[in-house]
Amino acid sequence: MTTTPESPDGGATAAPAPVAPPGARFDPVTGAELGAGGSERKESFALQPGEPVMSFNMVTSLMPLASGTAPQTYRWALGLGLLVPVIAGALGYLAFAFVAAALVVPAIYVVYMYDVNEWEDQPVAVVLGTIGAAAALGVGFTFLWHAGLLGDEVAPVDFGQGAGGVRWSTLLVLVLLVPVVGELVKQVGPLFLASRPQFDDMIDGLTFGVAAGASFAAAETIVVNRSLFSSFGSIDSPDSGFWVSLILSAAIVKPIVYGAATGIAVAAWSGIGSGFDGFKPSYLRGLGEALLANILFQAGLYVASRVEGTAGAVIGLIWGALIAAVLLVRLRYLLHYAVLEAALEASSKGTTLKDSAHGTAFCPSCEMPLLEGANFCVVCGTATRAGGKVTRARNRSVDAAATPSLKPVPAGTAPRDNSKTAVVVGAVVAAIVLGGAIGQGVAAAGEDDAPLSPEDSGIVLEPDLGAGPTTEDAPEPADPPGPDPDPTEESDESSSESSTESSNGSSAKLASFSTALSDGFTDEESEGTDDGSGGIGGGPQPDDTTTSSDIVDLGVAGFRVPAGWEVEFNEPGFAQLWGPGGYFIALTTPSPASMEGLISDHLQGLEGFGVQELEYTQPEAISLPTSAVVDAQTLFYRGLMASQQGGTFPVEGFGYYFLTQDGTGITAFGLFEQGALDASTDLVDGYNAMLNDLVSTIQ
Amino acid sequence: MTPRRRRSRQSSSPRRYVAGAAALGVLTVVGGASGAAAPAAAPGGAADWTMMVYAVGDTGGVPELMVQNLSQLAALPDADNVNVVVMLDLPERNDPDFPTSTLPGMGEFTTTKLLVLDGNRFNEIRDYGEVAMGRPDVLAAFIEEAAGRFPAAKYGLSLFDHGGGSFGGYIDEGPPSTTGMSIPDIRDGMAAGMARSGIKSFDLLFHAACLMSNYETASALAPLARTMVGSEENMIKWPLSVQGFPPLRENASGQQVGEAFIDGYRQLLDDVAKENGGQPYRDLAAMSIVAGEPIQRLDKAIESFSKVAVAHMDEIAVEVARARADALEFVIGLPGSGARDSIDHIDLGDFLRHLENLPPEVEVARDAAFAALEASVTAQVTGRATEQATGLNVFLPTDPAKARGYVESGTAPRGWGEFVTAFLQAGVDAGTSSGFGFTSDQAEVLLQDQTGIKIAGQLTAESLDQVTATETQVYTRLGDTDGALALALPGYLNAGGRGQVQGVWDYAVTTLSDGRTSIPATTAYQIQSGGLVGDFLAQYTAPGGTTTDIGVRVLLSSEGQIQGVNVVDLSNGSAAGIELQNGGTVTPYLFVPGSGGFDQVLSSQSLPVSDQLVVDFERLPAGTPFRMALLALDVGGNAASATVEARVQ
Repeated sequence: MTTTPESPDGGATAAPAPVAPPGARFDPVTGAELGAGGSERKESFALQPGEPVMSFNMVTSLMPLASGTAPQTYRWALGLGLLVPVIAGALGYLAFAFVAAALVVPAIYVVYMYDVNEWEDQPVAVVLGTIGAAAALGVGFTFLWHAGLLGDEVAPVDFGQGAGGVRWSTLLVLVLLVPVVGELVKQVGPLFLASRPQFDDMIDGLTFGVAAGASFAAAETIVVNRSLFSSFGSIDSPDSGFWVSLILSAAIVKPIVYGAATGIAVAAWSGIGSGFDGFKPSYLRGLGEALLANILFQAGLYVASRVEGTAGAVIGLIWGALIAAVLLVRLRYLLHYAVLEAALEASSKGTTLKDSAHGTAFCPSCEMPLLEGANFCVVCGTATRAGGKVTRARNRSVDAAATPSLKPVPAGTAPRDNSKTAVVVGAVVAAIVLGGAIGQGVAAAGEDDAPLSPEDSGIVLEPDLGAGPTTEDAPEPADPPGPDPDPTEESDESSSESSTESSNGSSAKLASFSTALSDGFTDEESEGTDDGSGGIGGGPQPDDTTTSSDIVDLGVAGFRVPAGWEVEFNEPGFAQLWGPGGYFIALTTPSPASMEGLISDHLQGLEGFGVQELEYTQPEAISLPTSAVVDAQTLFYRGLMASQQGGTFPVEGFGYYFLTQDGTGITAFGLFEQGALDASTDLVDGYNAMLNDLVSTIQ
Repeated sequence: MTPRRRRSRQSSSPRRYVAGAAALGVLTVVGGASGAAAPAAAPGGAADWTMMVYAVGDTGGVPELMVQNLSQLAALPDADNVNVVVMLDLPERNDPDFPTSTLPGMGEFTTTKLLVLDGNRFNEIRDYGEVAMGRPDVLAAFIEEAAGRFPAAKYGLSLFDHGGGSFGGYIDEGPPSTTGMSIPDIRDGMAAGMARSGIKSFDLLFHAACLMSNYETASALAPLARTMVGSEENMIKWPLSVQGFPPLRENASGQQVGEAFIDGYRQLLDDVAKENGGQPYRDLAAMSIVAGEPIQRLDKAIESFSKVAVAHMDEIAVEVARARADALEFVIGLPGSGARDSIDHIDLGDFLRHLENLPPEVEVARDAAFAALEASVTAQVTGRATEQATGLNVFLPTDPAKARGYVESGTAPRGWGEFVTAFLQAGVDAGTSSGFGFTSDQAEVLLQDQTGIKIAGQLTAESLDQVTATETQVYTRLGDTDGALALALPGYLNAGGRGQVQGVWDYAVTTLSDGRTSIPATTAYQIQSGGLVGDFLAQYTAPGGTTTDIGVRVLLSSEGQIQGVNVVDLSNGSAAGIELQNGGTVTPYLFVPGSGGFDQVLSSQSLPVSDQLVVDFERLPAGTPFRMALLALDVGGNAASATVEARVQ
């Protein structure tokens, strides 16, 4: 809204201000509610008078120009648009669901902008400046923090009985870096456009900010869920509650939060009146509100992700919805009071607003005729600013100066915007379905159907002779009656000696496990480790500064912590470590344990941790690594984990299960992102070292 | 590692003397039978213990001993907190084995009766008529009824009859038909009875039968019993020791009651030795207690061992065969004796100990299996002949024909069955090895004087890594039979040089003797740490004229003296104790080379059974001609020999 008067003499000869006729409910100039006793107009939203200012109506908040019958159109579009990804997700078509979810709000918004001609006949500039720029920047920035900064650390995996360690790098990135930098990145395009004269209106700024935010959210959703396009694009037995929560979060909550926050900031940048306010305190306030909202949103999602399973997903969804609701209300108040303030200011200065009615003009909401020079409808109170650009252009022009680009309308007929409900809804749904189908097609093409295979994992348990109990020698036979036979010459003297030798060596290792690690290697161990593959079982060789704190003690067995690994949690019977790309967890089960129980407890535990669509190989017996163990089995598994923040990522791992001579069970398993074992020799070496240490120390 | 009671073995100090009466000294005689009616249940509700005795008495050779054994229990003092419930079947009156004794409180009977011990007598609860006790459903019904009528906090089950190790036992030969229980049958019967009666686990399972401390049996029954007691060896006379019952009154644990049973049997053997003039029986005892829960880990360890051993069988088959030949064997077979052939039951732990020269992963698995076995066996009683016993015997044949049905019947524990199958297949695959044999079929006499003879034969180079067992055989005239096999003795591989096989003999043969007359018997000996353990067969003719095949197992010392003896009834393919009655006769079997092997023939000589009848090891007269042979066997069962003929000096 501008203070520049229409008349060239600066308003000295401006038309007299319209007077409300008897019975009018609202003042045509200021929009104040007549008869309200001077109280603030709160029960009638200036841009949609059928609603109070305090309302969570997403359509009228984010699409304020879709007044009249148009809100119903976009409610239909939103409802049906949400239904598509929700149904797809409930059926297990995850790639389809997440791409469709990402497109819901952007698709509706593009149609909205076309419908209200928000881009003033410059669609390319507007689309590129908002949606295109935001999406591109969203893809780039998300890759930077999701795949670059955090890599696989973004996996919010949390195991163990009460394991509560916080990985501070992850926390800082997710809760500070992402929301702060992301918000600034989102505003690049909208701020540029809002500085153009044809888009200097506050509602223009709001619109561009919402569009950019929604597009950025869409890009982020697709990038963090990119693994769906190579594996687990569709799953057979989805946990509907879990996946629908994530999909709703991606489809509606995140776009609202991102869009509303950016919309608030960019609206503040644009300011009231023509031109833009720029980096003024009002913008800084708006930016601050946007940043705070994003930080709170991400922090809540981080906390929710530490709650296992569907409960965590639902908590995250509810938290996001709360943030979104607050932002919507804030946005409504911002627009409402901006519209009223602009009118009041113009009235006090004796000037007219840009969208004041002239000539034959009709209310964009109730279609009642508008008084000459009116800024508000006297009947319903809708601001003249609330109409689409077509309507506003017609209302503010003198009848003889119809805009050539507008379609001619019959005289006396209220101008209607292009709002054919079926076409709008159809276009939105079609865009969503098409996007989802493309996503599912890409996933199908990239899906890895290769069966799980325990081979080539690189993990090798080497039998440690003498590490456990040894078989006593057979007794010497008695002499026979009669002559004595000659002494026996053994054919192979070395086998018993080598067995004794290895037994002594292993016994030395066992007897002085902690001491040897504290004091560094014994000579015997050092001699065999020149090729760097030494240590027990051939893992990475700890350096001479190994201390007792680098030893994990489970009570019945233990292992050294390889370089590059960090103990996140250790108590008797349980240890959780994080290393170069994966987790290693070892836990004990008191006697009498059973192999079947160890395996089923482990697999159930993985499902409880949130691993969806768990597939696993048949448990396979392996050669005993030590005689202290009576049974040893292994299996490999893979599955899918997801959260609102981290997206979806396929995981895989191995499990080793040992039953000791006294009936104690030991479970040792690794969990890492799919392909991590192939990519990282450090990871394999670490697992080998820890596993071989572990079995060597079982008594 | 589970703490394990030290094995009790006979020391070289004077034998512990326990008078027959003193052995029963713990018992107090309660005067007079009460004549009270059999109570349906222990007074005052559930007792501390209900001991069930499943006595399959309608079987050759056991009724008399069984009635005597059960009668000993009647002399025990009453205990209100202990129920002793017996199911007993006896033969028909015209059966030669019909017992001459009766149970206190009961007259003669021939049917199957359910009895409860009370008031120093057995009281009939009901008569089942003629039922086949060698059936699992009958066993199940007994368990269900006994537990239902006599509920208790702890339950024990004693199975009393012939036993045959992995072949099962508990054979009822009477009407309606001959039945016997395999190990799966025993398991099914027990499980069904326990399910119907609500017993989760027996606190004690006691096999009053030969050879039933057996891995296949323990593996099958471990889920059903916390403590299992039995004998790896034969059991003689009264296996159900009365000393096992007083601890029940003190509400002892299954382990404690089991220890009392095996201690009591050890004392019995000492008493029997005294009665029979000094030939010890305990030297051949091998009782053991195994715990149910660790057995399940032993199963896992054996499965793991089997998996790697099978994978390496082509490398280790010869070592397996050697270990099997050197391991303590129970009921050593005589060659070509058909049903009297070896039952191929060896001590599991001793077999694992002898298994050498293995790939590392097989060695680790063997160590794990041995450790698991040690953890499973919680107590043992052994003697000199059985000091290599580790608690469980196991079936490991060398002839594939003998293993038919072993796996398919469900007898073989999974891992062990696969191991046996692979081992036998390796033997089949080995086929006939060309070049296996001695460089000459003539053995060389290295030494011969009055102390004995030592001969040697040299194996071919190709034979060195294929030979699995060696033996020395002596053929001479025994009684009226020329060229009979007198002895099978150990051979000594690589003695005196690589590939050389030596055999030694001191000119003595095993004899039955009454002090005046000695008659020889073909005997096979196996060298063990406590001496040479041998078996021979004989036919026993009871005073009434019935004949029964018996097995006599002996311990021969390095000085050439028989130091331990036990005698078992082999009449129906398994073994049970037998009492040789004065007035009967014993005729040894001789084995004579025939077409395709050996022919088993009765000696023309017999001896009457008397208190003077002993087993001896007597020197042949000087000048007696004999033929001495060295045998070498490979994993395929092929044999090569080298012989020498000489005369006793």
